[in-house]
Amino acid sequence: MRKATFPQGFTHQMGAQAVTIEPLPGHSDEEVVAFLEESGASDITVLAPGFISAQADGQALSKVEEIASIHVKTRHQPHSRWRIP
Amino acid sequence: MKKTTFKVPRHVSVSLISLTERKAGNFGPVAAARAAGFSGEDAERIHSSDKVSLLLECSESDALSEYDLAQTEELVPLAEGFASARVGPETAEKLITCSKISRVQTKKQSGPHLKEVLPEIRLVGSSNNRSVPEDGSGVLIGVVDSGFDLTHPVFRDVNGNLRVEALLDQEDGNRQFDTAQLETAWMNGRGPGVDLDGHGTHVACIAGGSAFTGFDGIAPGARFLLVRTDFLNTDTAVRWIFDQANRLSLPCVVNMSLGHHFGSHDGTDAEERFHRAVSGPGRILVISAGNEREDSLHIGGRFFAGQAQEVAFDMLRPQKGNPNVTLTLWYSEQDKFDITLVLPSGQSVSVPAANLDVYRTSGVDLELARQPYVWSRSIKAQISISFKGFFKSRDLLNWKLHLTCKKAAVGRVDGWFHNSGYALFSRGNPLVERSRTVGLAATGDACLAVASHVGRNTWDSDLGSNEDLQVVKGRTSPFSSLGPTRDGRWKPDLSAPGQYVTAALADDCELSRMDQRALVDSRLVTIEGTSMAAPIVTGTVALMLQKKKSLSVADVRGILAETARHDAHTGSAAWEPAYGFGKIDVAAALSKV
Repeated sequence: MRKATFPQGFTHQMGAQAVTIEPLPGHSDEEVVAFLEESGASDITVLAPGFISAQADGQALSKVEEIASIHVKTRHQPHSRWRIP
Repeated sequence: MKKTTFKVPRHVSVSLISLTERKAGNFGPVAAARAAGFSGEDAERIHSSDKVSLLLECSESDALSEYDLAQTEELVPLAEGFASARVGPETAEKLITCSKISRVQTKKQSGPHLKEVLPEIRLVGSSNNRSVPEDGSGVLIGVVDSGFDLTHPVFRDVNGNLRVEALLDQEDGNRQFDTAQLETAWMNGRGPGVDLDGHGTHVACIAGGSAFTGFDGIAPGARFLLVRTDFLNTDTAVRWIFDQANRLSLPCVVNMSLGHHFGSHDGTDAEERFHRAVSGPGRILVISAGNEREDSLHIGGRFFAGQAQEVAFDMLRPQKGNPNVTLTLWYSEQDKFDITLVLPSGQSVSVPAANLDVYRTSGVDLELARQPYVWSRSIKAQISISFKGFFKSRDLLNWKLHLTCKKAAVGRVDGWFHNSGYALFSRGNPLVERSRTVGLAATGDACLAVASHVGRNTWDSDLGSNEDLQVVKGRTSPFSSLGPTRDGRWKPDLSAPGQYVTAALADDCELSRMDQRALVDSRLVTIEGTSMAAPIVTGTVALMLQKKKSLSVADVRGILAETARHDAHTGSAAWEPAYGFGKIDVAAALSKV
């Protein structure tokens, strides 16, 4: 079984991800947005102070990682179900 | 046995075709009654008329102008494009063949389909009239869901106009539409935000649907802000809805009948903290608790130093694509755990103390990682298993997770598969818990998390009347996720009827293919879930906001908790893992506002 080790974080994934980004203390939303724009991220939205949504690949995220926390968004499921009794 | 086959035009109810094809001169009262859904002795006892009741959809405004009706017949315009007819066979045949009429369906006898739900939540009294004057007027209901069938009458007011203020379609490049654009786009069938699943139409209807064949939603006077979501960017959906509400300067409650289990379950997930940042006076979020009580997707337990436990799990084969699952484990930063994954082959791999290890074989990729989670001073371990290429069924079975506690200041560890339907822990294992199955983002403290209890156990469908004898009316729904949260907070907040709820059916959606649940001609379907319970609370919050626009989520939670109903099922405790603070009582809640 082939093994590879990566440093902490999940930015080894090279494809574009939907992410929520929080600037670390001492860094502003504007700073993070500027980094993302320079890195080619798309759909950049400041959701609320301290929360930025974007679509970005591993390369873009690896630059932002220094100044922000990155959370990969998770697919939600609808909460309905049915069964035949 | 003689067989006769008739052609059934797409736009006409089958039951009407069988009536008109009899060519008996008149329908006869029993035949007309059966077309309306009466059966057996009721058809002979109740129905005395030989006319058939029809609901017409007209593609042109002068569609009804050319008919000479008999004295006992009637043709009544209901709204733009809709008319009610009560006619004999000759007129019925003319209506079927009229090119200006796009749909002819027989009206079916139906009591209000929330008839057992609305009294249960105290929205109607014994006379079946609403017990409160509020209807949600002046309030916006935001719905983040699978889409919406805007041809359905539940989205239109008495004049036939759309009650939708705006729609965002995340599945179509985030295009936005206002009311006028939606009216135009939906004029000839499917338009933006189309609901291919049926879930969103059903949910929106419960919260605020207009009166339709004896049925209306909780807040039929509210206006909608709708998001057809991609189920990923739910945070931008909420942001968009609140931006629209800010533009219109109106109070707003958002319903999210969806969730996941890929997070810390302690209210510190990014989306949950974002909800805390955007909620406030007149900005309320209602989220369904989840349906995962019996899905064996959670393990949890308290360890002492040196203790080791093993739990087996099986992966599930999905309908499409290759099996994959992500498992996250959470424990205090003061503790230390060794975590090992044992493959069905017997090979084992350890979750590293830090970093991410990736293992690749010809059949499966494994990713194991561990990192600090600063927001609740926890450690997060993550295991992802992805199958690729060829695999055998036995490769999915009997995976094992081995946990050894090295240091136990707190000692508690919790783990969840990222969602139900991907893998199952072995049910007999003592680590497998039903509690702590409320999902994200319902574990956040800036929302109302809603559980489900049984409001009714009977429903009608195209296959006839149905009854589920395995559920008890008033009891918690067997699927409804249980609290508390990982950090012990009281979620769900309250319970609402979410079992066998009948509401609007989107045209030609997945749900319309379920004969045992759908009434296709009546455009209704019966399904269940905390998805159905949440919009009952959402509609109730809309009624409360109509009375007082500045209510915050804490205000609403306090009122709903104080007025929640207790009975033999809930017990008298202040909070209970299945029911939260108790069962919703709409009239009592409104009286406290």
